[in-house]
Order: sequence, then structure tokens, then C-alpha cells
Amino acid sequence: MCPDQMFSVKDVSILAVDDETEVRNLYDTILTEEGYRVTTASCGEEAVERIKQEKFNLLLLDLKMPGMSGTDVLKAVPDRLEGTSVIIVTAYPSLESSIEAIKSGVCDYVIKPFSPKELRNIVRMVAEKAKLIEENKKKERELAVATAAAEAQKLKARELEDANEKLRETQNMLIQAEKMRALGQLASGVAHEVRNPLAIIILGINYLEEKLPKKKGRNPINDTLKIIKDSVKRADKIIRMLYDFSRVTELDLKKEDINSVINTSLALVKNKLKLEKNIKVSKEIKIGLPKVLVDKNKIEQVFVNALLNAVQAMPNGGQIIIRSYDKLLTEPGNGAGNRKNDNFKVGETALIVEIEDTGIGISRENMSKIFDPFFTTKGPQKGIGLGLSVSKNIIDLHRGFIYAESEEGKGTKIIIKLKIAKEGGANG
Amino acid sequence: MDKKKILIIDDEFYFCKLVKLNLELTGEFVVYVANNGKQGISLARKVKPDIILLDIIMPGMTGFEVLEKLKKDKKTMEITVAMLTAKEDEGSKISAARLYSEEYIVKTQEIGTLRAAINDILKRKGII
Repeated sequence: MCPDQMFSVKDVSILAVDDETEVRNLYDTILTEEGYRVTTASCGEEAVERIKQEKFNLLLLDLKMPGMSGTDVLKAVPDRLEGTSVIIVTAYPSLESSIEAIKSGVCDYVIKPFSPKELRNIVRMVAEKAKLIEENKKKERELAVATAAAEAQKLKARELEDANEKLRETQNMLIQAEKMRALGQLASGVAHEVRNPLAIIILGINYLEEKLPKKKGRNPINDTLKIIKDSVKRADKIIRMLYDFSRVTELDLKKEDINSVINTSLALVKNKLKLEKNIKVSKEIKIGLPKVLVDKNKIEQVFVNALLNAVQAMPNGGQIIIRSYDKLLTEPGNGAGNRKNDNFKVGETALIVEIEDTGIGISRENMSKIFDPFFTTKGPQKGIGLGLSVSKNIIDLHRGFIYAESEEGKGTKIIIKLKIAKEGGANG
Repeated sequence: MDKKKILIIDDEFYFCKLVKLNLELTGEFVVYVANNGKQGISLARKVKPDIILLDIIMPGMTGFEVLEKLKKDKKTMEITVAMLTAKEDEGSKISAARLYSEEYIVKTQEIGTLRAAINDILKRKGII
């Protein structure tokens, strides 16, 4: 029953209960002079009625009265006395009555007879104590509110940070897409400007082939014409690949089972693999993997490209292993972390596809360049160095990560990390 | 057999010249050349070719503008038009199809491939 109302001396309302008229008059006189608002009751029953009608800050209660005792009053209306400070006043203090009163939530005790000074002091002390308690509670409440506000602000800051992160990702994707669009325009322009002279060269060769005296078998003229024609076709292929490279700007995203994408990719290179009789392909795929939100055709392009690279890296045969599994990313690095370009958070589960070969491997000095456009180790006849660069572009657009591990003479592993699709959504 | 009349409209002078030389060498075609759209439309009305090979990017009138005019003109609307261009993008292919171009051939083809494409169109149209 300790107070939860704020005490201000001049506003303190007091109910003084005593069966003796002189004592009630004394309370009235002394406490009214002090500035308190005083109401009196002559018995327990009247006190209960008053308490039911009005909320008091302080109750001066005679313990022994005819009819309802002071203790009975406390027990009769405990709810109404919430926040009311109770001072028991009695001429007959006993250990039992004191214990009982304290159990009922009494704040202090005054023994009759008491001097006016004693009464003033004890009422003031109880009122001030109540005020301190209330101030303390108020501060606690304010602190709770401030803490809640700080928490809310922290939450808001986190939300803002997340939103900012998403915005940054979108911005990066847009910049990447814009770069590709610009490159597309350039490629388209170059294609037009370069293809016309190439077409003229080809048609010129065709004309010469018809007009020059035909000689059976190989001869320098025919060989020269063939070399020119093959070179023109190579130049044309470069233009087409540059154009394809720049076209990877938009994705048709759907939830896909990555194992099914792997199977389609393997089917696409089946014929090529059949020709390479010394190359064995094995799959180590995990069944029941969560779906990924990907552009199936583009991801197939990445897998096919990695598979064809693996075939080319094993001129004397070898083994290709294609794996799929999911993995909790516990450490930063390889696309995971809090850096601007990290697409995965530490603690996130990613879906991983590995394409490993037992081929010639990549030298340490070349490892950092393999994803650069136009970097190739295959020589001019076999590749123009856009395959892995296109793959990287595709994986970047998927907000995934692609990297390679390799040891010269032992083989290469291309590792592709993809985002797991969120549950639900329209593309189920 | 009558020689089939081909009109090539392309601003690349040497390209036109070599298409003409190569196709006429077969003895199956007679090739007319126009190096801009305006001249091409006028020649189409006059010669009434069996096929028009039309470039897209040209100074002045573009291939699409030429195509639109040809397909709106009663004298030329029935003539088969094949785009023969260095542009390979889907947008151009769609635009050409919308304007009723019958074929889309990307440049840097050997003359054999071009001839095969021309013969396919002529067969489809019942001209040969």
C-alpha cells in the first residue's frame, strides 16, 4: 500500500480516523494549519465509506475503535488504499498489532498521546518519503520510456541500415546494368561499322574463289583465301560474343531446383563430352536442396561455360566432378561479410555449385585475371576470353559470387555461390 | 529461265558492288543497286524486282522508313523485302517483322549462304 501518487504537501489529502472527538479535532486543527486537506471519520465504518468515495493520499488510522478496528478498515478496502500512505495511531501498541499492521502495508506508527510537533513531523516525513518514492518511480518510468525510445531508435537505425544496404545493392546492380547497356550500344555500333568491311572482304574472297583458275588440292592461293576467310569469321565471332556479353543486363528470375539446372547443363554439353572419350563426369549432388531464385538459361550458360573450360583444360583426359550443396557461411571472405560488395552475410546459408576438373590448372599469376574480359590462356583459335567474364557478370547480377581455386598441374575448381530463394512469393 | 531481279539498297558502295558481282556471276540474277533509300524506292517502282535486299542503317532515310514506304505503295507493296544488315539485335528484327519484311539476314555471310536465303524466299513465294 505504499504510495504511487505524487505528494505535494499543500495538496496532500488526509483522512483522519479516530473515535475520540478531541483527537479528531486535534488532527483537523494541526494538519489544516500545515496546509493539508483534512477529512475526519469517527469510526471504522465511516472511514470505509469515505475511502470508497474519495482517494486519499494519507490515512491516519486509530487501531482500536468500537465496531470496525483500524486493521479491519485496511482489510475492507485494500484496492481503494493503493497508493495511500497509512499511519497507525494507537494508545495500546502491541507486538502482534504492529506486525499485523505492517503486513497490511502500514507506513508508520504513532503512539498516543502524541505532541502536535510529533504529529506534524511524522505526517511530513511520511508525505516526503512517499514523494521520494513517487519521484523515484517516475524516474524509473521515464528511464523505461527513454530506454524503449532508444531501443526503437536502434531498431529504426537498423531498419534504415538494411534499407540503405538494399538500396546500395540495387544501385550497384543498376550501375552494372547501365555499364552493360553502354557496352551493348558500343558493341552494336562496332558491329555495324566493322561488319560491313568484313562482309565486303568475305564477298571479295567469294568472288576471287570463283574467278581464279581452279587448281586441285592445296595451293598457296586457295590456302591464302581460306586464311583470310577464317580470320574474317573469327573477327565476326568476336563481335557476336562482345554483343552477347553486353546483352546480359536483365534476368528472368524464377524459383528453380539447382540440380535440375545442373542436369540440363550436362545434357547441353553431352555431345562434346562424348567426343572426349578420356573424360569422366561424375555428380555429387545433394538431394532436397532449397530452391534458388535464378534465370535458368543464364545459370545454364555459366555451368556450360565452366564445363567446356574444364574439358579444354584436360587435353589428355581426366575427371570432371560437379557438386551441389548448401552451406552456412561462418567466416567472412569469398563474397561473405559486411563490405560494400559482399552479397552474403556471415551466418547466411548459401547454395553452392562446384565444377572441378583434374586438368592443367591455372598459374598463380593468372588467377587474379581469369574473370577479366578478354583474358584467355587458350590461344587465339580457341577462345577470346569472354566466357568467365560473362559468367561473372551473370552471377553478379544474381547477387551471388563466383571464384576459382586452382593448382597448376592438379586442376581447377570453379565455385559458384547462389542466394537461396525466400519462402513463398509469386514465383513458386 | 528468266533471270531473277534483285534490288540491293545499301549505302556501302563496295558491299553492293560485290553482291552484284557474285550474284550475277551465277547467271541466275540481275542485280540493281541503290545507295540510298530515295533512290531505292524509285528504282523499286521502276524495275519491280523479285526481291529487295535492304540495309537498315543508312544516311537520310533508314531501312525501316524505306520499308514502310515500299509496303504502303501499291506499286511496290507485293515485292518481297529481306533485311540485309549488320544489326543483330532483337529489337531491329521485331521492327522489321512488324513492317512486313519477309526475311532478316545478318551481314558477314558468304555468298553461298546469301544465295541460299534468296532462293528459299523465291521458292516460298512461288517465283521459282
